Amino acid sequence: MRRAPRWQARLTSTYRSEAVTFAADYFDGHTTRAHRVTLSIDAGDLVMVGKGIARRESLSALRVSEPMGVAPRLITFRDGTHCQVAADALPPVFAKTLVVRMQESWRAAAASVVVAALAVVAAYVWGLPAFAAWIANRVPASIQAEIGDGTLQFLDARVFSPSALPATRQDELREAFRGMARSGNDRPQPYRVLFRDGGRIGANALALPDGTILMTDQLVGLAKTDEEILAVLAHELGHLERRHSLRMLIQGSIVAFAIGWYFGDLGGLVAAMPALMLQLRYSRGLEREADEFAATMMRANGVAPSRLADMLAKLDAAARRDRQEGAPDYLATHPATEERIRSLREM
Amino acid sequence: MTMPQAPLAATEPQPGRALRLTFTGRGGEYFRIWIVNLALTILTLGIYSAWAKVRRLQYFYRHTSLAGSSFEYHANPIAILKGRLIAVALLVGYNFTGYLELPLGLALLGVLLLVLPWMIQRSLAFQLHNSSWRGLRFRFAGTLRGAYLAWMPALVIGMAFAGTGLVFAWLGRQGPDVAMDTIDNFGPRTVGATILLLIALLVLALPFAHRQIKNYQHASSRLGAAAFRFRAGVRSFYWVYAKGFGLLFWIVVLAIAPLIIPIQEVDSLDPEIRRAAIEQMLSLVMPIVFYAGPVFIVLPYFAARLRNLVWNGTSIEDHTFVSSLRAFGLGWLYLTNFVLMLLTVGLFKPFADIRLARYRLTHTELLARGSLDDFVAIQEREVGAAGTEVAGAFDFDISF
Repeated sequence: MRRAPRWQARLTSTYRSEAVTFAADYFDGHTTRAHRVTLSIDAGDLVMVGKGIARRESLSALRVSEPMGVAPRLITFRDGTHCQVAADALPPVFAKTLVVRMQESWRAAAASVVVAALAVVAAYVWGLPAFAAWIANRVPASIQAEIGDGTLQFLDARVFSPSALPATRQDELREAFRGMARSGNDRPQPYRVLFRDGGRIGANALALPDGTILMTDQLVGLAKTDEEILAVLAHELGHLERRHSLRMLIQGSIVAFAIGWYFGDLGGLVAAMPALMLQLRYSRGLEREADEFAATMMRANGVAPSRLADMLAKLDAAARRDRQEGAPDYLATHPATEERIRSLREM
Repeated sequence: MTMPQAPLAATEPQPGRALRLTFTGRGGEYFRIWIVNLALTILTLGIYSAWAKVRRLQYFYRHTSLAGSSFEYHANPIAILKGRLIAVALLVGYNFTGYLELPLGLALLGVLLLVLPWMIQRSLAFQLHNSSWRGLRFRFAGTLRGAYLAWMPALVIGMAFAGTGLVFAWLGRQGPDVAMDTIDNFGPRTVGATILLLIALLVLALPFAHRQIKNYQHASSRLGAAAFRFRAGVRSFYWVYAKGFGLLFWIVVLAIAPLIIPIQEVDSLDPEIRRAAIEQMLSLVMPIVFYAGPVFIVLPYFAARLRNLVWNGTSIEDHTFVSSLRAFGLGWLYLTNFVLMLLTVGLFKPFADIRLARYRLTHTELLARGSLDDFVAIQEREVGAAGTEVAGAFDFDISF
């Protein structure tokens, strides 16, 4: 059942029943022939006069389209027929709705810009990460393991070589970490620790989505005490526990989708560049979260969180020695290491 | 008593006259409508978006005129809102199942793909039934069967590409060993040839699929009792696609060619330095080849030529359309719009939309042979009743 549209022809409050007359084109809805007519407002009625046309309708039975730049105004009768009036030909006797008044005011436009900007920033900084974390926490660990890609195989084939660390030393470290992870860990996640010769990557540790924590011999070599190694393992476990790779995936795809939709007319390819830069910002927050997780676990085991800071400082110095020129800083995935070191010393 | 203004010019065309579509929309004006739309949509958590869409389309419709009369958009925002709520529910449902149980998510995706032609047919009908010119509503007479026939080639291509992608991803995850085993089993030449054949087959089917879709859309459209006709043949589609892909090929070649020589020189150097040098050069080339070239040169080429082809082949009664978009004109628009949008953090978008609409519309003409007054409405109990029964648009923005 068709719902009757709301009839909107209201006169402004300043209209004082002066007679107004203007020209229009009338379309009877049966053909596309335009009929020149003259319209006039008289005592609350609209009078239409043309060649072979005479019609009188109460204004309450009409609908007048809202003003829109230089677009013609439409006066529509209940039977669906209508008149088109040039924008400058229609006398300003019809009241404007609130939305129309907002659209015509630059102040309302400025306010709208502020609202939109605040909403976008709030969504990006706070809403999206919260949403992604909420979804990621609901994904069962088995599914997260599925997301494990061929990264390990790739690294083993191209970059890593088998570890030079003796098996006993590896097991020693694994045992120590297993003991640490038992306390100070709210929701144990299946994991395994693997050692490799890091090749040209050097001293590093990373957590793969399927629960593998990789640590390179070079990092073990850099450390002065075992506590420093365990600190790094705790940090990597934090990435796993907090489902960071899954969250990055969710956030990244939503950001890419939103930008692609917004730049729509220019093709989804355009989305790639800005989306990538926005995604990098997320990794800094996640590194901080992993640091906090590690600090909590270490304190629960009587280890000072500053050990992690010491290790980070050593890693940073080593990286500086090997760093290749050319990568601009703001594109770097490693968050401000000094900032992290400072926070960890304060924890 | 107010003086009567000049009457609206509803002109009568002479036989065989070219009538340009005019567009009077202005960026500044539209920006205010757009930004208020955006703010209200945010404040109402998206509910207002249906009203925003109606306002936006009314702005563009009413500022577009042919032979002195503008178009009009009649959609009821409530119907659009219903459609959008259903779409959101489907999207949320799909995402949830996708994460929790992979097979269920894939099945749901399959179902969604299967109902896609039905949703498109509904969208087209909704869009056209709610559009009118000089008091006459447009109509969409396309059947559901026609929609499936028209969209099946495109869906098959899409699913084939997606399927191939999934197979590659799965192979990649199994690790290099399984991939190597698979290749060894079938022989590297066979595998390579199969892949190439698959790609070629898909690419060759694209023009055909595109033509089917456009034919369905245009040939099923009506203005009142008059039917639109679509005359562009499959061969012309192949020709445009061939030229487009050729353009893409030359861009890739031209981007890579200057690097061939330096790579020869680099050959003699230390392997570490050579690898670094190649990486540096690739990082310069990749953005051009895979990004700027396709987006700002090849994409507008396809867009302009295909749009010209489609509209040059469209006619209604004795009148034919003439579309004269230029690939470089469109490409320049894309580029400037993109840069300005970046510089203004996206606020330039409404201006960009206006610029694009103006370009498209002012490069479209109707070659009118005879009077445009003689279109008649189909027999209806009530003028204007037709469209609103098609409620609940899945409102894909099917742009012309």
